Amino acid sequence: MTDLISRLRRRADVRIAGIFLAVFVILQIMYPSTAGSFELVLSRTAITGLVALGMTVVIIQAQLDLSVGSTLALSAVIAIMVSGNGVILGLLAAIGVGIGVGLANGLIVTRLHVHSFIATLGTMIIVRGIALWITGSAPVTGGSLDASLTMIRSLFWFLTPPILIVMVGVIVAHLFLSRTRLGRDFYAVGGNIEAARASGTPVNLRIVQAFMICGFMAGLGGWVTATELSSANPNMSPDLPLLAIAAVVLGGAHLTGGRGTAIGTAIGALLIALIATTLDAQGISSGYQAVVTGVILLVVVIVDQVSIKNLGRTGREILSFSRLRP
Amino acid sequence: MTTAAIALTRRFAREDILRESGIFIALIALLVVAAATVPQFATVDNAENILRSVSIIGVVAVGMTFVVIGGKFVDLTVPGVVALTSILALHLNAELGMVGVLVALLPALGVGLINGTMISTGANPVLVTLGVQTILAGFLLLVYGGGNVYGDRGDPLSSLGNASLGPVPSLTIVFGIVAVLGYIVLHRTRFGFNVFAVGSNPAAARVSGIRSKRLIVSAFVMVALMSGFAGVMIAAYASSSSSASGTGFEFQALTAVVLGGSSLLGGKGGMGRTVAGVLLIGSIRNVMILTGVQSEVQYLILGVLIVMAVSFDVWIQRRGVAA
Repeated sequence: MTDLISRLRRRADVRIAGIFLAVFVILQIMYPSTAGSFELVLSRTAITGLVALGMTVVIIQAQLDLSVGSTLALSAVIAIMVSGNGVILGLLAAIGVGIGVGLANGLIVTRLHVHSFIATLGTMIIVRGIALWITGSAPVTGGSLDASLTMIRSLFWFLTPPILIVMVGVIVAHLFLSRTRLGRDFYAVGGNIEAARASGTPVNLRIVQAFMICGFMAGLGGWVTATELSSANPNMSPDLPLLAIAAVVLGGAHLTGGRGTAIGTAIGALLIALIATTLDAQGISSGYQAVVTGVILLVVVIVDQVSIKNLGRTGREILSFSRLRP
Repeated sequence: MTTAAIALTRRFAREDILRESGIFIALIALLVVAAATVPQFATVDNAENILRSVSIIGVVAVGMTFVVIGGKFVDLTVPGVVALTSILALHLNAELGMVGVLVALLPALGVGLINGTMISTGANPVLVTLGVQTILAGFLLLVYGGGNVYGDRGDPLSSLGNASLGPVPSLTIVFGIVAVLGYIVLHRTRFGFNVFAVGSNPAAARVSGIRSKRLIVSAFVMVALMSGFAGVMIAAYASSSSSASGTGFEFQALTAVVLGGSSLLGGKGGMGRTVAGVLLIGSIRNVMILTGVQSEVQYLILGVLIVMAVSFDVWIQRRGVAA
């Protein structure tokens, strides 16, 4: 029994599930009135969770994709602009944009050998610029996207289409990462890229594929957003990369690659949404939420690097005046 | 020396010359072409405009140079620090005069210390500074909302900010002083030498006794202080600010540093080149404004510039190594 427990404790996604439960219980005790907001939490998770799933794949390979916010905005804008000619066209266009940006990211990283941080920083700016340019910096409205959803909308009680899409996404992502050859390759590339290359894995192709998946998710998220709001603001979702990365890192992935699970990310996203929704319900403004999200991210990132007992040593190293011994 | 060794030396020299002078050549080329083709470019008025607009970003870029050369990529907290400091400077200047302005720089110092300490543990600088920036932005939103803060146009700070020495705006004089000091620290002090060392080979630097962790803290303190200065400059010049001040500064500063030839991988670069990069970006922006390019397209071109600059940098590095 103790052996099982210690094995479970080491699994990152079990850990985050435990943290989630603990936070959930604490928040319920502190703010009992938010009992009925389960649906709110879920729908809040939807878009971020979707994008976070894509980000998981990228982070498993020890990369970063900062362009997801811009990609989502551009996809949403294009979906609205194009959907006058057909709902399916809107969906295809949005996904196309996402995959296109992902392909560009992947190529810049693998062909131009630019670090993913800077590459996606660049594409983030470029894609945002394109979105602002084609809309003249103003939100676009219209399109006939909502027609597609009214049918599905009344099917399940709290499972609105975005939530359904995310749940399907989590299942697909989980199966993909844990059971397919491609998924295993992704972990290999992230864990030890040289070893993966030596054993014949097409490393560059996998990297491009990961970015394309992430872009696809962002594009899908853009389409869902456009559908929900029947409008798209080219300036939207500037914080999306931060939230998505936070969810993935909370879910147990390491930025050094090779670790991370779809379920962990999903729970991480839920945790962030839970806190945000609870704070919202208490009338606490989004400024606080930003602060809390930032603090959570920092705590997770630092704890990733430094276990508690090393903290003292780090402090002493910085402050000491004696010669360092290697 | 063997033929291979000679060839190797020559090849490295070529790479470094490209890196060394590339930016200066590009800057001069742009200035010449712009002066010839764009009306109003080659006027004293326009030169003043360019100088004024680059001075604020330039100060940040000087600080960012240390972070980049030290191998720690970027400091994304620049916008928050700029906004916070400029707002504080306006408030405290009203209460305490110039002393208040100095006090306003203290939070910047604090942010730099926090950033540096966390990043010195090995955590990813992008994530750490992103997290801190989110906190700063949230804090600013809470306390100041989206509104503007105004100062008094008649007071000493404002007169200082708007003064000129002949055709040279006071802001540019400040930038000049900061750039020169930055150059001296980076290229003529032990500390600066250590920054290059830590950036090019962190492990070797530690083994040879360099206090890397403290150096990283110092680098981030520098960029935070520079961002604070930039905030003060905004407060002095415009006598107004908002929580959105400083948006985009971190990207522009980073682009200037990388365009100037400093490598994102650390260990290579220089202050003079950063200044040239700042001037280049400022001139490109100026040309775009003069020729009526839409601001969205300007933003787009900034992104393209970053990607181009970094690809070029990586390409040069790889050519040198693949001998």
